[in-house]
Amino acid sequence: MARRIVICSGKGGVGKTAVCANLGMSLAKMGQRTVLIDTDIGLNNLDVAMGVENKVVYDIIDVIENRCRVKQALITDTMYDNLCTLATHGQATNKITGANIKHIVNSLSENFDYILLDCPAGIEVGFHRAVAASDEAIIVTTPHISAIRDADKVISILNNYMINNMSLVINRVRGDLILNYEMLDVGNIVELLGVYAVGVIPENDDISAYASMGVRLKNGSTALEAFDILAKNLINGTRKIYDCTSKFKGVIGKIRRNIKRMV
Amino acid sequence: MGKNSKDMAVKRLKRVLTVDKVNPSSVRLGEILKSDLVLLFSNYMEVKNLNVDIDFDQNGVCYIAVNAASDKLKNFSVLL
Repeated sequence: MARRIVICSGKGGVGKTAVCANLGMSLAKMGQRTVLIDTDIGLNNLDVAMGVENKVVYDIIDVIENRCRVKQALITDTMYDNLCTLATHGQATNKITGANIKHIVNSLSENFDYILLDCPAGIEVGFHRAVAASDEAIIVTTPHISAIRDADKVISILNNYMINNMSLVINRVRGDLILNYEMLDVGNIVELLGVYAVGVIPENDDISAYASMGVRLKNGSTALEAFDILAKNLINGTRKIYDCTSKFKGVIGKIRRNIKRMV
Repeated sequence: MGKNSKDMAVKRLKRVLTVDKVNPSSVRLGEILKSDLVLLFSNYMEVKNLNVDIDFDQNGVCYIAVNAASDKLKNFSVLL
């Protein structure tokens, strides 16, 4: 049976799709059979994040409306055979229900270890559709008050669902700002939201640059390292956190911080 | 910018999160408490007027003030 995890946030633009795509790649790299499902119907982007936008023949709507079987709609990743994407299309529809998504998730459950559902922003019908089909939730937030506030509201809503396990991914963390006391640190956010952090992703230009080019994160990238730690935490149940502040500590680190402030 | 600015941000966030929780839930909670308290008090008196005020401070600590009025208390011998 696969673990069904919804990647949600409440606030838009915090990096749900990027986290979903990169976490999926890290899980696949570690040998886990993973499928990524785009439930953001109408504002679909997971296909672009995965670099498979030109390979979409059938999508989740075709499956629901019986135009194809689930397996026909799955797009196998170019790099990992054990990673698939189930895209959706750009026409918004209210005909799709949570039960439809749940049915697809159930049919995939036996053939995969992880099913990640990329949830739309907001707490409207699309959010409930994705959550209804999941057993676990990863709430993506950034260390900004507006994102944390929305994450808190999402956590309250998720408490009403049968979600076994809720965890946080804190995205776009800047170690230099934390050390300068200009950004909330992970401890503050975890304490205020009352949900443990399963991953911390540093602010990294590579993520947006490579995503625009449709290329994968390169070995040695801090973001890739952080996503690998996140995937390991998910698989093993550990709570190791990527330390975004380490390269800004000490004398050299202080110089780096000052240079970054000037740039 | 220093440690104070971070503390200020944490305080502000705490306040925002508290207010978000207080607004929708305190009124409903107040109504439920009120009906329970009327039941409780009516064992000992005829409740004429009952007010339950729920207030939260900046740290999320909840203060509940109950103001009950009665002109008919039950006789102590009846209670025993």
